[in-house]
Amino acid sequence: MPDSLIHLEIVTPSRVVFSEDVKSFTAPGIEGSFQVLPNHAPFISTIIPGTLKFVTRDNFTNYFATSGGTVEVHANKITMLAESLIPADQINREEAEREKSEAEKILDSKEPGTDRESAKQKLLTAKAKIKTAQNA
Amino acid sequence: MATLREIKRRIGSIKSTEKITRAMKMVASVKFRKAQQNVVAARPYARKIDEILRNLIPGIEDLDNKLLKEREIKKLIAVVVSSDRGLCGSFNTNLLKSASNKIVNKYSDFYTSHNITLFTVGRKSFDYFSKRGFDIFARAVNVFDRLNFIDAQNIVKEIIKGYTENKFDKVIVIYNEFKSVVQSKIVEEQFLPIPPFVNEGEKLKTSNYIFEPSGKDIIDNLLPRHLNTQIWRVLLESYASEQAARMTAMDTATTNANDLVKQLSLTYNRARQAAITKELLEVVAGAEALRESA
Repeated sequence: MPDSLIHLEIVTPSRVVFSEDVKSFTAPGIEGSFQVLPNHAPFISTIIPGTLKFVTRDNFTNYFATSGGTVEVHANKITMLAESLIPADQINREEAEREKSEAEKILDSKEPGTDRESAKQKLLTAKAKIKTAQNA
Repeated sequence: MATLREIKRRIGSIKSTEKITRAMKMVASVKFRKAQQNVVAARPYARKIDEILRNLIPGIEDLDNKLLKEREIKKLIAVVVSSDRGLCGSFNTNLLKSASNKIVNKYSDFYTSHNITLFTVGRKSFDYFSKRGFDIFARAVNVFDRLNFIDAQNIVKEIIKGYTENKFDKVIVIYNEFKSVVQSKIVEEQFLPIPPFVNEGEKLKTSNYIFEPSGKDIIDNLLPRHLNTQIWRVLLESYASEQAARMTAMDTATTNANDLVKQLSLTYNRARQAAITKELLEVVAGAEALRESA
């Protein structure tokens, strides 16, 4: 076997985004970033907003920004379930910055009845997008 | 008998109606195809979440999730999913009739004691139930024009909030399930508490998983996502059925309009012929009379 590979499938509610063999896969787990290499032990983790990274068969590194999800590794197959996902080259920096400042505004305001939980989530997602765009 | 001019005007108006119904049919069929693709595209995600949950839940002992646990049912909420727009045949009528029937008859105990509220999705559903004085907990209107996963998330967020605050103890969903272009089925499903996951004889593979964080936390995180996909599926199915119903209704309307035009043209031609014959007879009779008197 020249190169050991692991199958990666990235699925969102609207479609299967990616389904191919990869060399490695890195994701921001809730207890810290982790990397999955071929023949990893069965594993399930919750993903927080951040950057996904994986290296394809021909050594091409892909970056995606995600708002969080779940990763399952089983039988040399990675399944990434994400509610939203965006490739690094499709991220609109200005839009992400705007989303970030909007979310910050909501969090800063002391008004009662604001949905702080979802604003926090939005802020983290926007930050993840900006960071992903910078890294890629 | 109607005059020629009147018949001609009717033909004109029917023809322009036919143009509209034909266009609507085309639009609906394009939208339908897209909706159908979306239904199919949503399946892998839902299936995977379902699979993980089915594998995990039996293996976790200290599971104490509010969304799974049954409690005494004092209050009920029904999520009724209709369309936003009309002109789709009996799509809404049947659904709303059957939904209000269910509420009044099947859940009559809750209904008479005012312990049933509604979450209406779609403008038609809201209009129908608010006009009839039902208790409406929340509504989502104009979601179908640009159907987005966020809409499903928002609906679920609202439901989970009410459920954890004990505003209701059971959630049911009533919607049109998509079967085929000519067939949709009105179904009622229990949404919360989440019905138990049945494991279809597969052997469990939970024991050897590494969890990060704990299995319980992963379940707590996955269950709301599972609910999101459930509502997402319901919205997509309802939308596909709606477009299919509209397609069929508009097709029938177009055919009917064509038939009417055919019939009216016949009447028009007959009337025209009759008028000509009458005029001819008059001319001949007039000429005859003149000759006689000469």
